[in-house]
Amino acid sequence: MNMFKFPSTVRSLEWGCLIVVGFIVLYPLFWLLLGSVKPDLSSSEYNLDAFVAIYESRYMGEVLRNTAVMSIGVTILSVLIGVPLAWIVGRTDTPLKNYISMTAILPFIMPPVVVAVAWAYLGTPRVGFVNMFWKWVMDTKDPLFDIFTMGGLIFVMALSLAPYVFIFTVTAFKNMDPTLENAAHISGANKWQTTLRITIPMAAPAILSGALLVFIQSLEIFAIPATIGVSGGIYVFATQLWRMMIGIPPNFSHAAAMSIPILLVCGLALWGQTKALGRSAKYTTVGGKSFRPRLVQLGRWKYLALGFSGFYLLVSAILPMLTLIYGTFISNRGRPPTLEFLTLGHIEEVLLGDGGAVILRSIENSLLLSFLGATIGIALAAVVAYFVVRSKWRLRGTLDFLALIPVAIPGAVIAIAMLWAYIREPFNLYHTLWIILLAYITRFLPFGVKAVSNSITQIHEELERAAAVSGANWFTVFWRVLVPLAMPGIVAGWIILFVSMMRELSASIMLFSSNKEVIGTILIQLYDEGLFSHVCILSLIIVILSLGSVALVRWLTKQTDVEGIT
Amino acid sequence: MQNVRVDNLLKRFGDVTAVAGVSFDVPKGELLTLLGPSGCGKTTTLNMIAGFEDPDGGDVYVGDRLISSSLEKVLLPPHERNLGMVFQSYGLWPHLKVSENVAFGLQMRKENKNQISAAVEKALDLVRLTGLGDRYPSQLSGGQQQRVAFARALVYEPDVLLLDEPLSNLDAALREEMRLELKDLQTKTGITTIFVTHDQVEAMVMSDTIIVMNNGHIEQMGPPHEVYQNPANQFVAGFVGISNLLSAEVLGVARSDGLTPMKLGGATIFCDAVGAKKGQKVTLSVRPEDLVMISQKPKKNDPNILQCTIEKSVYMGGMLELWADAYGQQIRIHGHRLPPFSEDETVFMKIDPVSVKVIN
Ligand SMILES: Nc1ncnc2c1ncn2[C@@H]1O[C@H](COP(=O)(O)OP(=O)(O)OP(=O)(O)O)[C@@H](O)[C@H]1O
Ligand SMILES: [Mg+2]
Repeated sequence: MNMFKFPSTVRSLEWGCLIVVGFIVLYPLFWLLLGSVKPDLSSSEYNLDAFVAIYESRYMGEVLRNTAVMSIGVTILSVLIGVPLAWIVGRTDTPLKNYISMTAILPFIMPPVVVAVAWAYLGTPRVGFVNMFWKWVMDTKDPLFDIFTMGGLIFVMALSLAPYVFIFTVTAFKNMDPTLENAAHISGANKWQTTLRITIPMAAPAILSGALLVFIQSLEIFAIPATIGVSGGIYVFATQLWRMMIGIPPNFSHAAAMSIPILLVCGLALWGQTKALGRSAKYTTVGGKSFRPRLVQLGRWKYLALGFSGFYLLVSAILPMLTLIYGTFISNRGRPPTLEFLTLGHIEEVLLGDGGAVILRSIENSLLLSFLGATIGIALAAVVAYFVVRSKWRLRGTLDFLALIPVAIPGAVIAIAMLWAYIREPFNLYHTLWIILLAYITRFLPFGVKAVSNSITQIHEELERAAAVSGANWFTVFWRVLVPLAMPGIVAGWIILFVSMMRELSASIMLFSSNKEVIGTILIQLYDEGLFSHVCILSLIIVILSLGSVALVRWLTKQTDVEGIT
Repeated sequence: MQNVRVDNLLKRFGDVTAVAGVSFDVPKGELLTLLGPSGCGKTTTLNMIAGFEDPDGGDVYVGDRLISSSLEKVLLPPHERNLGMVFQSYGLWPHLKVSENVAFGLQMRKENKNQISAAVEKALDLVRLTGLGDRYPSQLSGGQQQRVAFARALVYEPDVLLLDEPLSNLDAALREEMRLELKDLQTKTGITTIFVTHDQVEAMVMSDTIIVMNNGHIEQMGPPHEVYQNPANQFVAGFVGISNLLSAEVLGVARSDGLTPMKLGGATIFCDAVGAKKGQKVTLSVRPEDLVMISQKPKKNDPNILQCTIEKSVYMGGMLELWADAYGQQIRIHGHRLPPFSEDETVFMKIDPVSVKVIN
């Protein structure tokens, strides 16, 4: 039964919502597909030339191999980092767990682009800080490692992505019915047998869903392959696409043809991820009323656990942060951080100097785009979320599915598809900020929908029914009851969108034009120009902005568990 | 199988004393029930026996094996206690098939594969789930899951079986069926069992011995009929079944047949009251079903007859539940007359002296 009779205007709103979401998601994909089989739009000829050309090209084998090695390596390493961390936080008596669980908000605070540049500075063989420190301590001429290798690429990517495995897995560990482990103990299993045979297998679907998300993300992230990878001559899918697009003339049809198999792989991974998540929810349904997961007493092993966690936080957050702070205030790269070498000159230069103008303009552009994008995006997301959660409409599932699709589309692919779609009549959006705005809204719609629908799910439907019974029509119920009650979720969603857009890179790098730079693209440009301190300042701005937002989201959603935010 | 001895178990959670010195003995092959209201410490007691909670005091023996003692610093972990347990939420592992769930305990005991599969099959037969071994727990009904939990707990022939409200997740009809089946199973396997419930009917049907607990201590321990018929105190009388607790006053000394007269409002009640002194105030406990309505008006001064005024009468199907006033005290009666009583009707209820209990 309908909650109450949806008036026909509401039905038209549902249709409108479906059409808008369907359009922004499917229209570019349609052009991407068309572009791959119809290289020359003016002729009416369809062919597979682009696919054949890519397949036969020199670089293809290498790019594919690099991409596969990187993605699989990153996924495995992320699991090897994320699962032990989750177990340590969720199920053991290790001290300082609250700090370790900060892992969950790392991706939010330290976006890939920041981790990438910081590690580029840390891991250069000759002058990287870690290597310099190593050479000094060991009194040797050989560096500890070279970050500009496949190993380095996988390492930095996994630092950035392991938190996704952590988040999914720790939730599963914390929500596991303790009876299941008690049942194993009483049947004769000791704590290690129980962990290996019951706890970990029960968390397996959650681990898998985290791993698949990491896999998708590893195909999507541009910043790390573009800095660490390209410097080492390692091209993967995302950077290869970019190389095709900045060629003169850009090779749309080849880029489109290359995107399609990746799109299929990502789609498959997303499908698997959704399935795994569903299974995980089944495994963690709480049965008994006494619900206190028992913690494994680690004894002396807790120092190992603490060391492992500490090392991860050191390399993923603390060292990069120290690098940024150092770069912001040091007069010259390589100088020791003593008072005489500290300066505010770089900050002054960025704020007032010539070189700063382009940075400030990019910040301005990013602020404008993110503000508009987050506002429009969350409004759309709120309506979509409402229909997805509450409506009994037949096409509700379709709407839900459409709004999820962008998760499986790498940013670079969305960008190429959009270029191809909106370059022409009636849109003519090429070289405008609007196309970037549209790309942001499309890319991050799923996150907005998730934030709002989480909060709508928690609102008792009785509250809306009570208003309806008292005589309020649908719009009144929506505005006067639902929106105010869902407001924390809506605002949290807005902030998540805002921050994600502020530092977006994968799509922006394909869509920006001169005078239309955004923070992410400028950061990469500054890095390429070797402007160490400028890169650090801009990165630090991103980190501080993100930190502030996390605090705000936590406060708004009264979220005590950090894992709940992302 | 073994007997269990629990000696002076004690558990505190901060200021709350969850279990305040509980002692009991379960002879080999018997079923003992811990019965009591929510929060009285039943689960905590059971968990201390299982090893999921560390006692603050007291000993637990299984046979002559000391498995937990705070004085001697013995605290075997659960997996070394060789106990079986069925949990309220069953605790079936969702990622393992039914047969794998059942086999787990045997695998932990390093039995060989053939023996395991034979034992699993036997256990599933025992709980009437033959052939369902290849399913996952989520593909079974609530009652079937329940049985899997029993098979899993019994398959490795533990010394003692612990049950924490195993039937409370089932619907009423299934629950009734399962408690008989469970009792059967326990008799058939002859396993020493400790059973926790707050359902008194369940306790009556299944137990050899019932322990009524309240606020962390034992109020009464005895076979079901004794607990029901001779409640040791007001709490037990009120908790086990329905009781009318009526204040009365001792009128004189016992007659030659051993019965003592009591004054209850305008009526005189003779009952068994050893050691009662004249003029002493006492509380009498009378079960609603022990009040028998008599049709003719009794003679004045006839003993053991209460004159009651009906206040409310509810038809329960096959029985009438009556609330009445007897000399200013409210009294509940189970009657069988049709047509039902009307309000303010006066009736006379006869009480057999043996069904009146004096409670201090
Ligand atoms: N881990 C704990 N921390 C603090 N107090 C606890 C804990 N476990 C139990 N208690 C308290 O100890 C008392 C006994 O709890 P217990 O679970 O043994 O009751 P129970 O008799 O099993 O009740 P129920 O019928 O509701 O299951 C209760 O007051 C409970 O609140
Ligand atoms: Mg209990």
